[in-house]
Amino acid sequence: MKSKKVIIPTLLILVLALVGFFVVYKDAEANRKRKVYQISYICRESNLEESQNSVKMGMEQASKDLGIEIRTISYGKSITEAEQLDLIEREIKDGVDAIIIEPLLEENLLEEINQLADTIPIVELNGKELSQINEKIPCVYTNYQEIGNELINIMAKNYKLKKVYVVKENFAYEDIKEIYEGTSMTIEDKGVEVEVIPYTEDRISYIHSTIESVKEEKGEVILALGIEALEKVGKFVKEQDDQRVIKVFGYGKSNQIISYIEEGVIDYVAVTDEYGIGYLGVLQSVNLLNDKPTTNEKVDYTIINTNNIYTTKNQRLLFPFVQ
Amino acid sequence: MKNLPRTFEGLKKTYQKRSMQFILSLSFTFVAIVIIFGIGIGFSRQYKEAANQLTEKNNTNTLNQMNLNLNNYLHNMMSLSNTFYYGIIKNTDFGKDDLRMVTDSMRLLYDSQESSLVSMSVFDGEGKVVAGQPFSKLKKRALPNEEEWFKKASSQIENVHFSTPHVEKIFINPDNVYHWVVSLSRSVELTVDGNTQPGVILVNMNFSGIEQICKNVDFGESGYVYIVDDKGEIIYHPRQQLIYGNIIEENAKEAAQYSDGTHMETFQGEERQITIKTVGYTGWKIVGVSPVSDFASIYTKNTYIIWLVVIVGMILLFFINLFVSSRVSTPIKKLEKSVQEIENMRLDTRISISGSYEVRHLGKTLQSMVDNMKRLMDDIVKEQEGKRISEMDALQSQINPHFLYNTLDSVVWMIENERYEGAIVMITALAKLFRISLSKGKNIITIGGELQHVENYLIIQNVRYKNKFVYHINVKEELLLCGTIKLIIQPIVENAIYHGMEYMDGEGVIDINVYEKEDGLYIDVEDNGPGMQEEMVEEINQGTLRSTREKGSGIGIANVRERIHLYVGQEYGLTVFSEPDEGTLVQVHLPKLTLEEFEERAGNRYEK
Repeated sequence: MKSKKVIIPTLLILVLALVGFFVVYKDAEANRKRKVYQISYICRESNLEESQNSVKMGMEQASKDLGIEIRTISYGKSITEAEQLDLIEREIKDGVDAIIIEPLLEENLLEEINQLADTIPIVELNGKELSQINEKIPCVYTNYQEIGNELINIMAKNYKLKKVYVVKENFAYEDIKEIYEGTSMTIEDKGVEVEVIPYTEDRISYIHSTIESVKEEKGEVILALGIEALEKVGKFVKEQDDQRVIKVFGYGKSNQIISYIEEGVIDYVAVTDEYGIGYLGVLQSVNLLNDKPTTNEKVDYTIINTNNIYTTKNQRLLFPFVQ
Repeated sequence: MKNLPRTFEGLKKTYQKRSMQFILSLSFTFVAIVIIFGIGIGFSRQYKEAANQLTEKNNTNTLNQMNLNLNNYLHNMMSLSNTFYYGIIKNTDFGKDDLRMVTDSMRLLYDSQESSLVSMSVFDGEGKVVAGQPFSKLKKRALPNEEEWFKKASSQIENVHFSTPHVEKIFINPDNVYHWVVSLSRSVELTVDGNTQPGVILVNMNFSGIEQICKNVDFGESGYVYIVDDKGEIIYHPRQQLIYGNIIEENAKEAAQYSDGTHMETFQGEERQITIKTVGYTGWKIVGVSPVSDFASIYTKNTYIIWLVVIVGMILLFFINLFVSSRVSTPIKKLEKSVQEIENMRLDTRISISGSYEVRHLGKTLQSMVDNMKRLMDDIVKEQEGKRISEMDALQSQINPHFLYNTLDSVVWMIENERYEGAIVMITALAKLFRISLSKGKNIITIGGELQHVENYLIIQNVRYKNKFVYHINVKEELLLCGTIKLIIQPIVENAIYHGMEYMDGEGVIDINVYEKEDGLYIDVEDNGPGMQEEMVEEINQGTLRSTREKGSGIGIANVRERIHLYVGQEYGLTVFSEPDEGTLVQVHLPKLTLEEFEERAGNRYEK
């Protein structure tokens, strides 16, 4: 009888303890799930407000959907690899949970970032260099080489292509670098001459004068890579008396560029789904933080011209509808 | 299946063989578990049902409200277009009147609804802009008459048409801002130089107006609302940009086919409750999506609590059942153990008296029964002991050496005096006396045998007492075979001889009469001796006088009375009637029974 008096209360206590543990565990689990992650997006700066807008809009949508906070830090065009690394380390020190980055294409920097990936989740946007070094770093990218390839093919198809003037922004960005590589390969295949003009302050006047001299009948086409470069080229072309003889292709999107396309100033522009890039970048980082499997995400692009700006698909791509 | 009845029988037998506590515990626990389980399931399902219905009702109400808001919004736009048409266009002759008046009026109207509008304009039948606010210049490549809104308005002149959302693209915007709009278009009549011409009004509603109505709708934790047209094209979706980018998908095409009301669907592995409401003006459908996991999580939490309570309840009930069954069965077990002790004839065992009233009562009754049993057994033992002693005394009296010596002396004297006949009679009588005394060990003999015994005694005593008395034995023949206790008349006759006849001189008479009455058999031994004092008679009748062993058998009347009581009960016995000088009558009262009946009554088991 005495043993029963001990066993019964003991069993009861055990049962209640089990129940209590279960409740507490579930509560803790729920609390863990409710943690609000802080993610930093380190991106290239631009003089134009519109650049990065769509990417940021996508990120904001993702932050709402996933319950996280995004902090955008942009760096100037003249940033060095050391400065970018310092920027990254500062963010880590500030206690962010993950980093989304458009890294400069500098070998040492990439290696440093690669090592940091062991301590903090990192996602690469608009490129896959980091991802190729370290598969733990997922990326969101577009097939930029294919863009370059297609732009040249369109040029070759529509015009008697003899020379391409490539006005490009800083090669330190993978998207522009890869588009250029894509155009280069195709240009070489087609035996077309190419002149590369870096888009820098000191070359603006040269660009202007080049545009004045370019004529479609001579088989010359301008290819501007980057939003600022493309807008500047468009502006210069619009100033010409007969814009129709100057053929402009480009990569980059802004409302100004779109209006140039409508006006016939710019002929063809490659545009990526920047909204999607931003959204997927955040999604990847949250998956990394929650130990879920991640894969590299490839995002579509489209080549728009005056005839197809307002197709259902393209207007959605060009003009993201954001709440 | 065939083995089921056998299995069931086996289980039943096993169950029945188990202890009371086990049966009680198991039965109550089983019933409690079934009941509580049933209640748990019932509550759980009921709650789930109620949660579903509540969600459905709430969703319907939400969509109704949203529909109302949307209708109001669209109605406002239609009112605006009416005002535009009937207030401005109808009152203008575009061939004669100053167009600035028109644009000013339009501006006023536009300004009043600026937050909801992107532009408003009127076109002629060719698609040429007649007037517009705030934009009136068309883009170089814009062809309004090729636009869907223009064609619909021109072809279906009675209706007001609403387009799907699109980017406004026909007017030049100096700020290079591209707005998402929903275009309201309708056919109008323009007055130009007094003539009526067809035209089209275009009101571009800022899509953010519709978005504002839709985006603040609360549809649960992860629920949402979107709008589709009749072809399944998305008008508004909170994540439409992701759908456009093929990052996520929506079941819009199928939802457009649903009728108004609530439907269940499974999309991409997720079960969802879909609520549909059609917007009257446009034919759009408002689609409310509630993932079942949302409201399931609410009732899942409560289901967890219900089941937690059920489990804790079951465990508690189990222990309570165990406790209660123990409290019920333990006293019975103790009682049963006590009964086992008694079964093993350990009558000194104290019966356990505990538990409920009925069990305690049972225990007390059992204890009383055991005590009675013990007392009866003791009484029987005493009675048997008493009988044995009495019989031993009676027998002993018969084998009294004095009587024997005296009788044999008498025989010797007779032989010496050559009175052989007398000796033979005495010896014969003595032999018969002893034979009947022993009666092969039986204590119950016939009346005939008892009378024979006393007669032999009287023969012997008569010789010894030199015929100082005479005796008579009267009995009906039919009474000779009745049963009686052995050696009850002789001691009375002995007393009569010693106390009555000794002083008589040939005049003594001893009469032995055996007769029957309604209440039994009577044996009277009467003598005409000196009689006894009243006090002595009383003492003898009350049994307080103990006869002393004198010359006779010495056992006396007390022994006779005692044996009668022992064998046939207190209602029978012996009574003395006597008065001084009047003689003495000793009346023995016995039941009138045959020998067998008497033996049975006396308990043949007490005989050797």
